[in-house]
Amino acid sequence: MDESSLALPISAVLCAVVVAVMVGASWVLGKRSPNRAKGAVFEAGNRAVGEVKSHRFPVKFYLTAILFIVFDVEVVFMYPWAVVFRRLGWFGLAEMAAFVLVLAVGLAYVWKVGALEWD
Amino acid sequence: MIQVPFGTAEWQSIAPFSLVAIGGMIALLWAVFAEERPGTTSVMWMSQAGLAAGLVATIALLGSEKASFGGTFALDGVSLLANLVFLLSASMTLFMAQGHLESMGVRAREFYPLVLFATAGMMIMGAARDLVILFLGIEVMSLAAYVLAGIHRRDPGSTEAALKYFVLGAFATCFLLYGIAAFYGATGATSYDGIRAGLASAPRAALIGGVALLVVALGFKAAIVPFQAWTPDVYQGAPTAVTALMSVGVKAAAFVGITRLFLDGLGPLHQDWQRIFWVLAVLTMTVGNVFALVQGNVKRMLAYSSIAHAGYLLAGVAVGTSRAGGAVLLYLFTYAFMTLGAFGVLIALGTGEKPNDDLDDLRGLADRRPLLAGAMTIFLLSLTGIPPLAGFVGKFYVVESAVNAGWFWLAILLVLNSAIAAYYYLAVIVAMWMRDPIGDEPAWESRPYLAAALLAATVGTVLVGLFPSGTLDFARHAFASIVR
Repeated sequence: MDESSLALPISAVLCAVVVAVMVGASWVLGKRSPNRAKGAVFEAGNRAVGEVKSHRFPVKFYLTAILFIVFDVEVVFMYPWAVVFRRLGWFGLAEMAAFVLVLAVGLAYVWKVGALEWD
Repeated sequence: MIQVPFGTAEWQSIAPFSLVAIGGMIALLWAVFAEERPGTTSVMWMSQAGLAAGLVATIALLGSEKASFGGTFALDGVSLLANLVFLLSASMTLFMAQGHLESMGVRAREFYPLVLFATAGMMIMGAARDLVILFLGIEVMSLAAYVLAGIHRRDPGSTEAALKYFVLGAFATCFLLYGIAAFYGATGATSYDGIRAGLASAPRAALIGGVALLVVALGFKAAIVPFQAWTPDVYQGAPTAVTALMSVGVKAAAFVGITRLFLDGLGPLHQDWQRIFWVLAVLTMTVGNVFALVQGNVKRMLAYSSIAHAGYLLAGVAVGTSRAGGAVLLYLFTYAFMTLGAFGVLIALGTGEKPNDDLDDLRGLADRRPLLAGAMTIFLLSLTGIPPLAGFVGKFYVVESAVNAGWFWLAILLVLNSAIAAYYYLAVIVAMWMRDPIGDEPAWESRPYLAAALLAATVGTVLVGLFPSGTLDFARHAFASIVR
């Protein structure tokens, strides 16, 4: 085995050792004083109110968040394209147009089914 | 200026799947923008038009042998024949779903475009000659399949199926990516040509690890034991039309991907993967058959039977010759017709209230609906492997290629397993023809599109069984240039 193929296992072992030492040391050295307040349910600092099952929370934000991530990640592909835009020429422009067109179809779909409306 | 090669070969190779994907997008927009009453068939027909466009392109290109995108995307007999399997099964799934989804209360007309997107992914998988493109195809197919499994949103079983399939599928994707990374690290390439060229000077440990990771990832998609645990629950929970697509289209795509990857890209490593596949094939067919024996629900029984068939297919891959590759492709062709048919009969039995897919629900079916019972009998006999039906020729040529290459034990175990399988297939036939029905006759609906799809499946099962040689020669010829 040459040096380059040894680098990966060595770094893997080092990672494991570092993690083991850090977690192990804090576990061995750290003080523990369990009490009731620590064992209580933590809900953003407030006292917990009632059962979760008895009423449902609206989670409208999740759809907004998912849609944001979808379109945000797609836009990331435009940055490398912008960097080599001149060198790719018309072909690159056509490719990106096709890509954006597919995205536009998706946007038209989510718009029409009402996923962008809050209520 | 960066010159990107994009000529005739590139256009031709992407045309079939692009047409299907564009058809899917048009159908998707139509489904939401055209204000229509429920029960209309326009979205289904638009989706069929997209599939038909892909089919026309595929047939027009039959006989071409071209490498495109620097050899990373194939346009050859294997990809074109695989396209035919995917397109035919998707088209029959759409026909079978019409009326079936509405009766269950599924209003989502996105079903039809999603089937097209899944099909486009399968077609990419069938042509991929680069691990990254294979990954792309798998993801395009799987993301649509996850949603399809959960398309019956109000049904807990369907939701469970979608969640299980998604979580485990995402996990399998990790294995695939780690496998790709291992090969890239070892050989410096992701294209099959590049990997072949780099195998000789690559560190052996990385190659063995990479093969293992890829076997896990692709074995999950193809439902190979021991990566099959999700299969029964997902197949049973998903709406039956989706189950049909998953057990035919998704499985076929996984097998075409496996066959091309291992016979072509990893061909020089065959001594390593052949032994793995030998063991997995025997395990898969045995576990699938033994568990299928004890099922009281026909849909679940068919899920286990599809695992058993994955074992027979994997036996063909293990043999690894071009004859065996051709046999696997022919098997996929025959398997598509008979499996779609069997699931189609289960769809026909379901009513809005109840799926009616227990073995007891099929008792005495021959008295109540003789044509349906007759069709089911043909599909089940074909799945058993009784000549002259399609299932027999599929199995026969896999066994023939195994014996031809000197794999006698594999052939013997395969034949023994087919004998076990006969028990549970014949049990359904006995229930339909020789037992008295239980309970009142369900209020069956008449579904002309489903009837047409069942007729097509029956004709396909009989015709491919009687005249397999054309397809077989084509498939063998297609693999002759791949297995080097």
